[in-house]
Amino acid sequence: MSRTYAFLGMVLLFMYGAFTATQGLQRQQTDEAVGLVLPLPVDLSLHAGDRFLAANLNYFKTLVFPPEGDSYSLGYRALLHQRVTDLNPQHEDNFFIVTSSLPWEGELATAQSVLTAATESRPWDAMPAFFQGLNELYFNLNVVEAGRLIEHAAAVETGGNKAYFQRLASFLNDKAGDAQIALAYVNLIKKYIHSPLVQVRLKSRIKRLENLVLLQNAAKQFYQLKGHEPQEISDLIELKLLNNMPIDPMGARYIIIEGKPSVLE
Amino acid sequence: MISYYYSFNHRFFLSIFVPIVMLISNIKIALRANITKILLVLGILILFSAWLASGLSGRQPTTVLLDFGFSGARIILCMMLLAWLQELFAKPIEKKYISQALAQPLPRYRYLLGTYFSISILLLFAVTVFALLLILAASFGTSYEQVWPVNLGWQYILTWLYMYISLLIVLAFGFVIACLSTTAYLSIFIGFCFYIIGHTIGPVISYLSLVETADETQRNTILPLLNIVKFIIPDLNMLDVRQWALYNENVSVLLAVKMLTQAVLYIAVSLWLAIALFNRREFS
Repeated sequence: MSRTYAFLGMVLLFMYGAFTATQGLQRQQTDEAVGLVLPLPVDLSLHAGDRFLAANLNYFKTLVFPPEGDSYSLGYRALLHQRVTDLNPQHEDNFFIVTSSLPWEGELATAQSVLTAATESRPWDAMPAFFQGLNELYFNLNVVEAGRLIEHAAAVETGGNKAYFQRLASFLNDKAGDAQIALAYVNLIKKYIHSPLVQVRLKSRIKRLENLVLLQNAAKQFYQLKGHEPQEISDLIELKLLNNMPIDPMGARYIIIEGKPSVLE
Repeated sequence: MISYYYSFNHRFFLSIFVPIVMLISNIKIALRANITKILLVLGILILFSAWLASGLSGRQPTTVLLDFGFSGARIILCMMLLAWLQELFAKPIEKKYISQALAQPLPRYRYLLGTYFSISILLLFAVTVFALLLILAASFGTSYEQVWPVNLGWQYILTWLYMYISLLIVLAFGFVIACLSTTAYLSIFIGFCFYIIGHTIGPVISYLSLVETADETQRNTILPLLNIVKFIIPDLNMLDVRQWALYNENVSVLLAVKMLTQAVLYIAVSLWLAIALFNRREFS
């Protein structure tokens, strides 16, 4: 009889232990990222110190994510792509997949970082610089930087794309600084993209470009009236060409450099 | 007549004949061991999985096949050399029958160097087998024509050569441990730890000191420790030059020569240490 009680007591003790253990597990589940994207030293030593193997297996991990994942899984996917780049920046599949997915889902910074590393480590390959330039143009509307990157791609390219890259670069370099062109471009993009995340980004971009167009028109009028270019934005306000100092939606400042209005980040 | 025979001919006979007999018998023992066959089959399975992995690549299937093949083959080769080290050197010490071999009228260092040489010959044979299998898989395994093709010329041979040298470093270190330890398994365990730490140390140091987005706590805790460890354990990852074959990257002759010199120096120092320990040790 006492043996049965002892057995029951042990079963109860075991159940209590299992219960508390699972409670502990549930509490620890808040940081799931540790299981998916390990700290780099741990990750490397688990792959026997082989950075190429670790890069390949981490890249395969990114492939099993659902294509239309939520923002939570998107963050981990971006971390994994960044990890592959940290381990092997030359990985060609990695930067191609990144280019085709991450910027469109709002992870532009990771995409640009992956592409920068690829450009640096693959001096024979024009594609990373070209993609980086397109992202600068399309998502950041930074025509100057886009022109510079695509010019770099044109210099590296040896195949059939060389002439195309050169034409695109010279077009962008000509149009750099013309806010009207950029505004028309971004309005066109806004029409064709329905992702709410991108829409929010574009809204503030459009506001900035509208401000720039306003300033450029005022500066043109100033030149017609005074015969020389304005030194500061307050010059435009003094002549009533501008009602007040425009406020940038992304917290930057507008200044006039060599008579031309521009944005100081 | 007898004194003449022993004073000249016998020693000459021993110095030529014993190493050859030792080499042949060592190779026989190593090839007869079950672990060699198991690892060989495992290596072929890993090459098969490399071929499967190439199917997951969109732009560079041959590169991924080679990449996986190099990674898998290197781990299997490291296991092979540690198994042979245990079979040919650590086990005789553990089971005490090494005293029979050392009863020959020859200095002890000959036995150690002879075993090292036999294992390196075996390893060279295994490396050649894997290199041939991998080049066959890379030549016929994929049909996709890459924009940036892999280099299967002398860069490919160089990659295997440097991998072979890095494995020789692990082997030399394994000999030092085997001379110290009384159990045969310690040399396997510490040898494999040495292999992992030696490969991990270089990329981790460069990541923590060069990449801006690296974790601040890791930089403050791990980096100072690794900066001390790197003076004891060589950066084996430097000898992994597969980017020359995989991405057709320009070969830096200066770097190649520097790495080779460092590797040879490390092997020489390790073997000297192993001989010193082996000479002092008493087998009874």
